[in-house]
Amino acid sequence: MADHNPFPGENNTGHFWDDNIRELNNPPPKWWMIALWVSIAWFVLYGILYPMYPVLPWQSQEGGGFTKGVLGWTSIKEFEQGMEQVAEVRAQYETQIASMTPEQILDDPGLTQYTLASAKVLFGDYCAACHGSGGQGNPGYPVLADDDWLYGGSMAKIVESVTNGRKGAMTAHQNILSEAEVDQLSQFTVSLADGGEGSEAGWKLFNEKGCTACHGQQANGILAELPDGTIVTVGAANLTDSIWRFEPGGYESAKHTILYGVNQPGVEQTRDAVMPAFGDSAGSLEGKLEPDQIKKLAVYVHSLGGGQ
Amino acid sequence: MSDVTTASVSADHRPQLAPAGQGGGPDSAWRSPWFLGWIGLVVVVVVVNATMITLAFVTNPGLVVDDYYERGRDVERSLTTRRAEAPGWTMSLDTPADVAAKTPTMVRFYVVDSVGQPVRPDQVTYYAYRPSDPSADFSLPMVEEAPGRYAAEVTFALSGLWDTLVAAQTGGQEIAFDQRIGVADH
Repeated sequence: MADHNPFPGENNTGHFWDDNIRELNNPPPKWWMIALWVSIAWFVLYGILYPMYPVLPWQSQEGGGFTKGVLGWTSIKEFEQGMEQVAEVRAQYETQIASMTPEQILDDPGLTQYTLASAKVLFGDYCAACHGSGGQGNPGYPVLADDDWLYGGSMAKIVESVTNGRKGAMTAHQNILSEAEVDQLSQFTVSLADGGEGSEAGWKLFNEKGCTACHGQQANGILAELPDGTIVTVGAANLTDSIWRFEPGGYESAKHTILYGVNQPGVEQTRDAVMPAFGDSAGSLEGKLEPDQIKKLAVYVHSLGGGQ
Repeated sequence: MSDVTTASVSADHRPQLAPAGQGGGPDSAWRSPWFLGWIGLVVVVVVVNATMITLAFVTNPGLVVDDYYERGRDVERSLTTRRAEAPGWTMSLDTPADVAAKTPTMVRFYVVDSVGQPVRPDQVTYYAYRPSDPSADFSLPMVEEAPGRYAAEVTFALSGLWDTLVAAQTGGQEIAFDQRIGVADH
């Protein structure tokens, strides 16, 4: 840096290097200064309009230690407004659903689409744990995506099942039947499940021992068919198809069920087959489903493939 | 000197490049589009090869199984042992069909014995293996929801193929059930 200014009147800062390199005192470009002032103004304006600074505890306004901004904007408020908009869109569908029966919903393609999308979440929350994410069933839990129904696959029956739950019941025959009879009946059910006719002796024993009381005269789980097509069952399995209520099925499974029954108190190895009630009949709505939700689920389950 | 004389033909009919000392001159081979094109081709091939080799080294995830040789050697024996020890359980792993990356998903494992009664193993663990990258592998314990029914909330970090496996430990024995799944994009 030189002590004297060899370039007087040039508007330099007085900083020199190597005799002729010097720092000039030019103003910044105009556009740059405009941008600077605009950004400062934006900062101030933003601070006035929106929440910005934390404040000391004794200065804090109600609800938190920060400046609130004159617009009173908060992210949670924005979220709630968004949710209100969603609710408005949903409301028109929900109102319709509330006043319609599940069958009527199914007749309206637009409403059905909404119901299925809405019920998918409900199904995941309440049904999928046992019946599988796609209603495909699981070992020990019935399939919902086929047309094999224990309690009937009509919309009314599905609503009834979801609302009140189901509890299977079958007597334990360990002290009622002889070993040979259990063996014969087990083989009889296996033969029916494999598509066979069943032996004459098997049918005889099946009738004699009262199996028909629940499994029906034809062992297909149907006790009676009313004139309007309604099927009367008590939830006993159809023994004439290849679907086993208790997987893996086959001789050993059948024998176990005959010996120890289903949901028999005091029988240690009895089958557990209970579906909880999801309606409000249990007295508490907590964790349970509203009637409209049950309606939606009925449409969903009915549409999984096997609705009757 | 005209272009025609850039390469002269010798007595043995082999083309000869311009005489030494004229490297950068108008007669240089570096001015021939054929020569440059050929060199360019070779350079491209070499660069692509180098890039691929570098990528292969840099992104190499290592071996998925460390003792691959021993396992391969013992495969027959372990299969036979496993078959002999298999308790005849029926198992099922329910992974939702629409499972997506970076989204918590509930997976459930179901197990019943040979007569269809629920089994309650001592411990049930969920393993997820990324076939191409062991650093993404993870495992977590499954919680019993009901006898024979176990659940875990899993989040897959990456979309694509995953090999999932549930190991049920009971009395020192480990029974495994595997399932290959495709995870959609987030």
